[in-house]
Amino acid sequence: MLKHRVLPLVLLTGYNVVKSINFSTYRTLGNPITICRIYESRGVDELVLLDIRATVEQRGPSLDIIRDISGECFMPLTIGGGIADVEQVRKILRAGADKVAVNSAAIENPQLIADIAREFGSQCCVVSIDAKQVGVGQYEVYTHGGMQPAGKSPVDWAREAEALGAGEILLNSIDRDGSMQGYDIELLKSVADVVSIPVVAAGGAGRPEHFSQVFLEAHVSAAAAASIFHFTSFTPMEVKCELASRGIAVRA
Amino acid sequence: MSKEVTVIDIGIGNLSSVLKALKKAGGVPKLTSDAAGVLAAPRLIFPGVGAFGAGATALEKFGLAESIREAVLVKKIPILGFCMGMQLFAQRGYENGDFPGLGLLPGEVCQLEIAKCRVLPHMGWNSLESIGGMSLFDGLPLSPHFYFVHSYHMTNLDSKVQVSYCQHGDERVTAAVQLENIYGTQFHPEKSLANGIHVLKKFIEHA
Repeated sequence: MLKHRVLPLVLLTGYNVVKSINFSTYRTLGNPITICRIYESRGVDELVLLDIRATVEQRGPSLDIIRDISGECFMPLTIGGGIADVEQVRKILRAGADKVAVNSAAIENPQLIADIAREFGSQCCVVSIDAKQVGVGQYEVYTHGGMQPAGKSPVDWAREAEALGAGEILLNSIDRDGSMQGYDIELLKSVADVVSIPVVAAGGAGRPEHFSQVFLEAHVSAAAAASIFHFTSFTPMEVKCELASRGIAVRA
Repeated sequence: MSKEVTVIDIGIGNLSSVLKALKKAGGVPKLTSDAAGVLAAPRLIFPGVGAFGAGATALEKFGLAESIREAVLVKKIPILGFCMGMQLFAQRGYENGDFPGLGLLPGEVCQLEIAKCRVLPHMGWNSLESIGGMSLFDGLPLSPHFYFVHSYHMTNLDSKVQVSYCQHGDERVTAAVQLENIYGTQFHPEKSLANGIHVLKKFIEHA
């Protein structure tokens, strides 16, 4: 039986691991290689690294960091941040990534999703969506690190991305980012219920119970989190123990 | 016994992960893209990421199909394929068209049924429901976990092929196959942490 995945999310600005709250007030946490080595030793399900300043600084993620991390991690690695064309994807995959996450550039040029899927397969094309609540039950997609409204709802954009060949959706709530108050269940459920590709929840996890809630109520395939693993004593394994105790299938 | 293992490189897929996993498993990997390299190998690895059609086209471009068949079927050199590499062992595949495979195994590569799976691609960690008596899994705990990412799998297999399965929703997914010296895993051993390294080690040491 396919297991529900728990994914540590590592946010970078260039060479530093940072932590953000509502997509701002960054705080530097340290070196990405050291942090990834800890996750490797804990045998986590997958790792997701997003360079959150890459798009606004008009660059891609650092290939050196990807090479260093992939040299030590025998688990799937997703890389995102500022990815805008197929040749860049080729370099990132060659450097050792298994999947790439596209965000702002895919909104500007949705064909990018189809191009990546055709060239490297849907399995490596993750579409990362940052969404903000704009009214009761109303959400809008934002790009450029949460700065620019895209004029699309996350549901419409996720459907479009799936039709173009995306293999996975990483859906982040800007409002919950770094809050540790729990995932935005309404947002996540609205998207997970309308697409057939896996949806990864992000934004808001602060306690193991938040993971149980998102799997039971929002029907997502995986849950990603940053703050809980950086700032509390909870490890991915403790989160999985909580999930298992609630009857949610996880890899021990 | 030599721990040398020759990795067939047809220009697709993430070979750096495969090479470092083989080293971690105690192997001495080297790459080859030509017939002489394939035929001289003590054992072969055929990795692959992506669509069957792209793989079949690349095999044709490198002109390696005939030498792989000779190495595996005539010289009986052990071969282990992962994911798309394993799928190319089949007679035919139906991803992005209708393509001939290497024909090493009597089977076809068909899409998993979305109605049964509910979520596709089949992506993430799944446990094997049955290991089909395959020696690659000797020494692992019951129902070992491996990392999968795919929407097509090998099916319509002849009964002489040993098959290991996992369950995704209501679909029974082919997870690994073996016929004599021909081994294949639908999952990615190079991305499956300690269990994946174990499988590679078994292949290097015993095949």
